[in-house]
Amino acid sequence: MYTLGAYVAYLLSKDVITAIIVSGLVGFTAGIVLRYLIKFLSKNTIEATIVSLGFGISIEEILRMSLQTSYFLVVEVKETFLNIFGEKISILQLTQAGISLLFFILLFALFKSNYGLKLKFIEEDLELAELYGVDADKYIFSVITVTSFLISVSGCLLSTTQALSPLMGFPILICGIIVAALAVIFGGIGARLHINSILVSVTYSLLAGIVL
Amino acid sequence: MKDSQAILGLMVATVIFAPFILKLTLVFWIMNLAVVYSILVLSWIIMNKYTGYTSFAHSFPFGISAYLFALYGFLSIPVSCFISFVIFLILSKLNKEKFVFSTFILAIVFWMAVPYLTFNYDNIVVGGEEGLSLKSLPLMDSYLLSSSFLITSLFLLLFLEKTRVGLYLLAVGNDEVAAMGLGLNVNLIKSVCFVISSLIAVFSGVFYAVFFGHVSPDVFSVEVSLFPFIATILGQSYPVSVLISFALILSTRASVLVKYHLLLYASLLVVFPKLRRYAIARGAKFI
Repeated sequence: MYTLGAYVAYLLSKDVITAIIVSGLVGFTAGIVLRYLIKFLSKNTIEATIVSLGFGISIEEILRMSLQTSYFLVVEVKETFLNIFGEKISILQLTQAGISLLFFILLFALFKSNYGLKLKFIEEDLELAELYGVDADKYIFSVITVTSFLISVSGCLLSTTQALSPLMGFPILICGIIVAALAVIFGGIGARLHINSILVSVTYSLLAGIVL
Repeated sequence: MKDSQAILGLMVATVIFAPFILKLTLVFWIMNLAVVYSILVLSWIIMNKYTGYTSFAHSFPFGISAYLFALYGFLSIPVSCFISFVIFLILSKLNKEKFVFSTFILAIVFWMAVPYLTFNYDNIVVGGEEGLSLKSLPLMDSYLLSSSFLITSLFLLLFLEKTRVGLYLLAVGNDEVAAMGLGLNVNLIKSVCFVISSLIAVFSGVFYAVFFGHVSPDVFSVEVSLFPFIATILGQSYPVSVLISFALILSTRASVLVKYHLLLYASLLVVFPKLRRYAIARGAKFI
């Protein structure tokens, strides 16, 4: 989905706003397809993971076959810079930071809502949640489609920072798994898990930046 | 069931001898590749069938042995086998679900990292994205070597399943706790399986290196790590999986599918749960 979003940004690089909207819609649609594939084909976590892995590789292969060239660069975005406390920061970087902040605020607000409480319930014990009348299927559907939307938009926003290739999603996948695994080790569910994820991902990025 | 396995084993042997009748270089080349991948598939089945662990990191022993063979020759076989065994043993301390994820991460990390790996060889920097070169064997010799290894391993494994040890292994693979209850040393059996599986995967990597005469970071690719899983999608019978490996390699390397083989593999991954259940329901006597 991340790769898909980045390629949409490349194809629609003349209009940033359209690229962000289209990448979000493409990610959302891909999320719907993925949810139905998982629902109708898999019966447990491992099967669902393998089905989604196959789906991800299919997207990459379709991109590789349709666009042929190995690497692309998004160069048509006009960068405007602002001087903040002596640092030159581009509008695009500020937009990325703003969207990330908005996302985290929405995430915390979500876990205070009725919807968030039901999500936490499903996260803790799926069977029990279903016994108590929570429509788990509806919630799983919404989580997959919304996260697909978000990761596709993040691919679009970060497309200017790296060379685009069909395999660009794998490092993100690995980072995501490492960050999620470390956050789970530190414990917590719901909002607390996400706070841990943010702390771990910031630390991870800083360490990766210093080491590499 | 056992007789059908032996008949299928003979079918595999017949397919392996077919290039000697056709005597076409292209057929030898593609069949050699199919044989190398089939050996990798056999090694994967040993781990999955007798320990219950699904590995996505068999590209690791395959790739590391190919790389080390290009650098240090036959010393690579015990070294790669030991490293792979230790890694699989450590990862097996996680539960079986986490083992799947961790092996997949390991495979991808190596695939991403190896292009940055360079070696100073006689004051020349080698490795990187281009990989390493070595002297390859003539095509016929390479084919004879790898196909003999495949046939020998296949029939040894079929024989093993008929023995008491084979039953112990199957018991551990099916239900570890029950096997422990029967008094079996489960940890020892699992370790032995990891060693055998790693060793066979290491040999497949070495055969790959001597066949191509060149080793690139692609030996760690996601294609190599997923191939054994895809080849065993219809079950874990040794001969059936080898025949499927042949079919996959022949159909994707000798046809218009050559550009689309990863898409085919990805599609098979998507539909694998249905395919596997269908195969178990309809073809139980073969798998």
